[in-house]
Amino acid sequence: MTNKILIIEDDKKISSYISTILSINGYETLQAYTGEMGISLAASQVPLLILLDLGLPNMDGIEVLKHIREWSDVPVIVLSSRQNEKDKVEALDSGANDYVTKPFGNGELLARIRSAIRIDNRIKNSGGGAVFENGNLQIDYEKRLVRINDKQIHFTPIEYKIIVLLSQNAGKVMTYDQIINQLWGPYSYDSQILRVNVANIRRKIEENPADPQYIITEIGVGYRMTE
Amino acid sequence: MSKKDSVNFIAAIHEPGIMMKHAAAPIIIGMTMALEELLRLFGINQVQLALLFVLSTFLIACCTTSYIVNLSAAIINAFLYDFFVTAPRMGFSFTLGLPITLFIMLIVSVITSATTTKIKEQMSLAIELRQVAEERTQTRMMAEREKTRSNLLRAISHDLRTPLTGILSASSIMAERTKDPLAVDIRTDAEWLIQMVENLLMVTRISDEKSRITKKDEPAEEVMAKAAATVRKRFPNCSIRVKAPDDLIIVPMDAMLMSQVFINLLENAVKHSSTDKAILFELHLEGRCAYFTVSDYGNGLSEELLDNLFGQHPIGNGKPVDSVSGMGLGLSICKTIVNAHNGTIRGENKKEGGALFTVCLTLNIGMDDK
Repeated sequence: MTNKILIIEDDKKISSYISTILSINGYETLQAYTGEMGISLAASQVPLLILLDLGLPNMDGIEVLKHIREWSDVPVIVLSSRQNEKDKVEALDSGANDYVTKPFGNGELLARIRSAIRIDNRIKNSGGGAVFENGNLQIDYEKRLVRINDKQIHFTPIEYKIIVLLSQNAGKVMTYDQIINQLWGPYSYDSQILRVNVANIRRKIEENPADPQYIITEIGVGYRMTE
Repeated sequence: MSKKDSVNFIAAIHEPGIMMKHAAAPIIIGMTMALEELLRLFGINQVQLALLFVLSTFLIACCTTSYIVNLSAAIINAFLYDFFVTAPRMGFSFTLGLPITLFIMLIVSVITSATTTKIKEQMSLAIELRQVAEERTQTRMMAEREKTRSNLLRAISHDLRTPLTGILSASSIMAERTKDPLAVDIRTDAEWLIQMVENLLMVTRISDEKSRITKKDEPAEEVMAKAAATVRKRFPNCSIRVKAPDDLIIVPMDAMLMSQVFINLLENAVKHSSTDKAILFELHLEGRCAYFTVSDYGNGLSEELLDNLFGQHPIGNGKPVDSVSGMGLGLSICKTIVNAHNGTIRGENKKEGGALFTVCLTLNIGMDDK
C-alpha cells in the first residue's frame, strides 16, 4: 500500500516545510510546483493522498482538481488562503475531500490527512455498516432509529435524511449545496431550510446546541459530523 | 473660450425659454417696423427694406422652433412689406409682387426653421452623449481604482503571509523536534502576527469600501460555536461556556468578520482573566437587539484601558508589548467591524470583578421572529 503524499504547491519553501512535517510523521512525499507537473505525477505515481494549493499561478487549482477527478478518486485536501472563502466551497463541490486554511498548524494538517485517509478506507472497504456510533450518538440505518444515551429520539423524515447523510460522511465536510442537492434536488437555492433543520437536529441530540459535539458548522462552507 | 464653452453658448442662445421664444417673434417684428420707418426717413429704397424684412423672418425662425409662429411671422412680414413699403404706401397692392415676396419669405422661414431645429437637436444630443461618456469614464475609473486597491491588498497580504507562514512552519517543526521554549515562543508570536495581519487586511477592506459589508442571515449559535472552538484550539486549557436561547436566533451578519470579533473578545478574556473560572459567552434577545456578552472573572479592565478602550493605543509608553497593545489593536478592529454592521460594542468592569464586553447587533426588520 503506497505511502506517498503528493504536494502540489508553487511556493517551494512552503512545499518543503509540508514535506518535512509529513516525513517526520512517516509519509513519503512527492513535490510538484505546477499544475501540469502535479497532474502527471498524480497519474504516474498514484499517491495515497494529494495536497493541492488553490493559489497556483498558471493553472487554476480547481482545474487541476477537476482534471484529476476525471480518472481518480484519490483523496484531495485543498490548501486555501483565508481571503478566498468561495474557492474553498467551489473546490469541495468539485470533488475535494477536505480543506485546510493557510496558515495552518502542523497538528491540524496531519489530523485532516489522517481523517481523509481513514474515511476513504472506510468508504472503499466496508461501505458503512448497519450502525453508526459516535460517543453517545447511535444511528441504526436498518431500523431507522436514532438514539442518544440509549434513548430513542424522534426525527422528522427530512431531519433523518440529513443526519444519515452527515453520518455516512462522518469526518468529512459537506457543503450546503451538496446536502441540499442530495435532499431537495439541484434546483433549490434556499439554505435557510437546511440551517433551520440542522438547528432542530442539534436541539435533539446535542447537550448544548451552542457548543456542539456531533455536528460542527464550518462557517460559510457547510457541516461536518465528528467521528 | 473652449469648445465646451462655445457649445454651451450657442445652446444658450437657442434655448431662451418657452415664454421668451414666443415673445421673440412680435418683438422682432415690432423692431423691424420701427427700423423700417426710420430707414425710410433716411431715403433707403424698397430693395434694401425688403432685405430688412427677410432678415426679420430669418431671425424669428432662429429664435423659435414652433412652425406655426414662424410661418405666421413670415406671412405677417410679407404683408407688412407689401403694406408699408411697396406702392401704394399704406395699402396692399395685389400685383405679382406680393405673392413672390410671400413665397420667398415662407421659403426662408421654413428652411431656416428646419435647419435651426436640426442644429438644436444635434447639439442637445451631443451634450447628452458627452455626459454619458463622462459618467462612463468616471465609473470605469472608480472600478479600476477598486481593482488596483484590492490587487495591492492581495499582493501585500501574500507578501506578508508567505514569510509568516514559513516562520510558523519552521518554528513549529523546531518546537516539535527540540521542545526548545524559544522555538515555542517564536511559534506563538508568529501565530499572533498572522492573526493581526489578517484582521488588519479585513479592516482595511471595510474602511476603504465605506463600510460596505455583505450581511447574510446566520444562526447566531453557529457563529458563537465556531468562535469558541477556534479559541479552544489555540488555548487548550481554557474553559469557555457558551449559552444561547432555546429558540433559534437568526442574525444578519458577515459570519467571518463577526466570528473574528468574538474570537478577539474570547482570546482577550482567556489571556487576561488569569483565573480558572469559566468565561461565559452568552446570547440573549431584547426587543430587536441580539446581545452577545463575553464576561470573565479576571482582573478586569484598568482605568487607563477603560478611558480609550476601542481607540488606538500609543506604542512605546513603557508598558510591556503583550499586555496593552495586544488587547488594544484587536479591540479597535472589533469596533470597526461592529460599526460596519451598524451595531454597538461596549466594555466595562463588573461589580463582582472581571470584565464584561457586550456586542449588540440588530435583527431583521419586519421579519417574524419565531
